[in-house]
Amino acid sequence: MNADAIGLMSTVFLASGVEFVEAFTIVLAMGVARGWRTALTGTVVALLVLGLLTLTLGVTLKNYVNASLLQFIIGTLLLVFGLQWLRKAVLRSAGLKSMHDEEQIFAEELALAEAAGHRQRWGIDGFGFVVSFKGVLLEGLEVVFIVITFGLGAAHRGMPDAMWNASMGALVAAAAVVVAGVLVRKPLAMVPENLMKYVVGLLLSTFGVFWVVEGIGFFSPAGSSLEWPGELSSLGAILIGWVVISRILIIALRRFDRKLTHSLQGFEAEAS
Amino acid sequence: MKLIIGFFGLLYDLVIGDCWQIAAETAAILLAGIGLLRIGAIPVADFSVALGAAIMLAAALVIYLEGRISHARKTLRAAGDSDRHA
Repeated sequence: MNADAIGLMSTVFLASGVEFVEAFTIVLAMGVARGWRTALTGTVVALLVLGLLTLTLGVTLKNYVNASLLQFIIGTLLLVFGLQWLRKAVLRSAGLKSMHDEEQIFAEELALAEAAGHRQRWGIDGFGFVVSFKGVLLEGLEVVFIVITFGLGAAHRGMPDAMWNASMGALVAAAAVVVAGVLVRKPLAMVPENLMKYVVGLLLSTFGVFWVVEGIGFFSPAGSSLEWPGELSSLGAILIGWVVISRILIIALRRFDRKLTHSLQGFEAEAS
Repeated sequence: MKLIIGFFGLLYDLVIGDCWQIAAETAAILLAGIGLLRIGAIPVADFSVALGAAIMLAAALVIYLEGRISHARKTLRAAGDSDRHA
């Protein structure tokens, strides 16, 4: 296995690992509150839907969509996902948003599940099934996009077995989360999710900008992908750009928060 | 019908999430980029760097403004609530 393949697998492992930790918390809460049969049925059905979707999407995109258009579509999705993650990470680091806390989310999900009414069909609890199914499907869809995006992107650059390596990265992440979850039998709060989300947000935004700009060439009169100066080495420059931008944003938003708090304290002092 | 609404709700959560401004900004920049590329306003050799920089700067601006506005709203609401309780 060469360095490219290890890099691809590690990126997918990191990105999908965060999603699997979130899905695990939801399934754990449903399993504890509404029964394991229900929670696991919801999970298995969601995984089947995801498998079918990955196969259909992967084959369709690879065989029937123009390569430049594919880069554009994938780049756009990556960019939107990446920016959402980056935004949350920036707001959290600036202290404007509370840190992602798996134990708190677990407690909230558990309280909701215990308060909801019971309606059973074929021995399966409706609420527990829907919440587990939706949780795994939503987080899993992000994993599917990550695997397809990074896999097809690497394949496009000529990496052999790129889709296989990307899928293995996600599968290893899923296995690691399940094994760790079974061992500790509680939400995986020790995983540094906020830091991981920041790193993944930076990576997704970097690849997103790279591919969307190349893919936009599909709409040019020539109809072919554009090229970055320095080709792949420009990825490093884009990544540095995002790191600098995010650090500036954190400093500026922290300063704004301090100013706002100071002004409010001034008003309160005047009023009293 | 419930299933269709649920599917689109899921899709909205996935692509747009809790900050529609980012999706809107990305769409606007890309549409502008396609327009400029088609009319040949910027030489193709410079286009990739110019578009990449534009995407990054616009995203930074949206994150900054959205962060400021939503935080100011929350803080002022909390201050108003504590005034009412007092």
